[in-house]
Formats: sequence, C-alpha cells, structure tokens
Amino acid sequence: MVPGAPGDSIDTKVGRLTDVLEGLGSVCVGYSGGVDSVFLAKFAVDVLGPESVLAVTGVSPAYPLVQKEVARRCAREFGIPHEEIGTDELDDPRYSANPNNRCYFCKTELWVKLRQLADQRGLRAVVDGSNADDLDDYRPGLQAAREAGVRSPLAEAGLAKADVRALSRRAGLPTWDQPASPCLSSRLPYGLAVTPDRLRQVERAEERIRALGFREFRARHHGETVRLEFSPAELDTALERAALLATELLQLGFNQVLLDVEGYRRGALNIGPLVPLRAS
Amino acid sequence: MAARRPVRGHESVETAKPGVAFQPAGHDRTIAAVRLAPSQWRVIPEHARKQLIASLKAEGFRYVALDITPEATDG
Repeated sequence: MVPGAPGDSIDTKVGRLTDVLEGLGSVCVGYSGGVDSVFLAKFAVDVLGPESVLAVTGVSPAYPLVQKEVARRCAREFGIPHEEIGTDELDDPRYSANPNNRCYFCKTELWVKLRQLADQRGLRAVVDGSNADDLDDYRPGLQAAREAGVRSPLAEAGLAKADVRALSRRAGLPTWDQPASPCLSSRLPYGLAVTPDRLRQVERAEERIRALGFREFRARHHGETVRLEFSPAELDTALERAALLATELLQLGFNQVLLDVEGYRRGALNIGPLVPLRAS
Repeated sequence: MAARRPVRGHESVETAKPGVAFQPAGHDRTIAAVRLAPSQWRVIPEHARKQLIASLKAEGFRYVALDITPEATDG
C-alpha cells in the first residue's frame, strides 16, 4: 500500500482512488453503513458500474440496528447492490471473552465469508472502508484484513476521514456528517464478556438516548453500571437532562447510571495498558 | 482538592472540597463515581473541575463520572 503524500489535493486523491478501483476491476465491499464504506461503495458503483460491485453487511447482535437501517437506505437510494450475511463471532470464545484484540477474530470471520462470497460471484477483490487516518489507530481488525488479502482503496488513495466526509457531502450522501458508529461490543471494556444480553442492553440504552435528541454519545457497559459519554457539544444538555436519562436507563436493568464528566472520547475503553496482539 | 483512596468498608470519601464525595464504581472499580448533583457540578469553576478530575485519576481511576442515579445525590 502506498498512501498519498500529505500535501496532495483532494482531487489528486480521488484520481488515485479511481485508479485503484479500475485496477481491481470488480469488488466486494465490506459495507457497515458507516461514512467510509457507504462512500466507497457508491464511488465504486460510479467507477465500475453496479454489475461489478457488491456491498455486503455482516449482521450479528453486535451490529447496531440503527446502522443496518442506514446501510439499507443508502444502498436503496444510491443504487448500490447490497446483501446481508449472518456472522457468528459471539460463538467464538476468543471473541466473547473480550480481549483487546477482539476485533481481530470478528473481522477474520467476516473477511473469510466475504472472500467466499466474492469468489462465488466472480468478484476479483474484497475491499474495506479503512481510510488513511485509520492506519495510525490501534486496529486489530486491520491486521485481519491484511492477512485475508483485503484491500483498502480509500487509505491507498491517501484519503483521510475529513476528505471522505467532504466527498460524501459533495456526492449528496446522507452519511457525510454521521458520527462514527463502531460495533456495540466496543461499549464493553476489555475483559468484560460480550454476551447478547449485554449488547441488547447497550443498544436499547443508546436508542433511548437518541430518542431524547442526542446525537454523539456512548453508553458504556460496566456490569450493573452504565457510564454515559456525551460529545463536548452535548455534555451541558446531558447535565441538564440527567434525571431523565437516569430514569430511562434504570428501566433497562442497570442499577447505577453515571455521567462521565470528560465526555465522549473515541477509543475511551482503550485507555490503559494493552497486551500484545496474538493472531490466534 | 486532593482525594484520598477509600478505606476498605468505608468507600465514600470526602475530598478537600466540602460536600464532594466519590465511590469506586463499575464491575472493575475503575470509575470514580462523584456524588454531586449535575446542577452543582456545573457551577464549579472549570479549573477546579479539572483539578478534581486530575486528583481522582492520580488515585488510579480511569474515569470520573457524576452518579446521576436518583438516590445517589438525594438529601
């Protein structure tokens, strides 16, 4: 992978993305319904034509329903061929024990299934929506992608998150300003077992918070305690509405509701020491 | 505004600021759950908030949060 130079213009990067996709010829896109994968799938359809693109969503209890709705809607509205497949990462004890390389096992399962599907459909490459910024982050899932031969056209073109948002806006994609939405397991601290019940509790908590009008937040599961993180822009409102938030969340089986005074930080559960990655 | 580590069995600890107490919370006790109403938190000057957060983190807590469970700050 040869990422673009930092000073490249966005048009230069787009040109490079076109070259990468044309070089691949036909692609199976790992499609979560997030900002990056929606843009990549749409752009691939524009460059290669819909007959050469299949966007595939892996569905499990860790995949938020709200995200599934976005994925379906964007595929429908923008002519992206789309399928959903079930994934069973929760059945893998290496995943459900929730080690810090949990994502590796989930993504390994996903990419193997997508590779099989791509082969069945005659699609030459499997691609993901990793962007240039992701390469600097702690991402065991990226290691799984590399091992499975998955390509990352956005990162290869040097497109950073801000570029993808700007291009999404230009393309009229509703996801352009969508907050990041990683899987629900990311709401459980490493070491706390991932179970369908806990994932459902988190999902329902976030549904209720969203229904109150909040946009960027996380409900972090700490056993009987839920710790809420809100973006700096929404923290004051959350403080004002704390009583209502507590009432809503106590109905979901939590015994204690905490409001984090530092607010939402991406990767907040990565705080603290990490053990080295083990591939298996 | 230094916070002291709770003594076993007496885990509600006063900080130097009168009325500000906290308890370890969460399944792994990594959260300092501050027992202060949100309305009171909002009137604390920002530098004092930062000082309180820093002092609790210095005690080994990963997160600092207000306990908004209804009974936590009643009375």
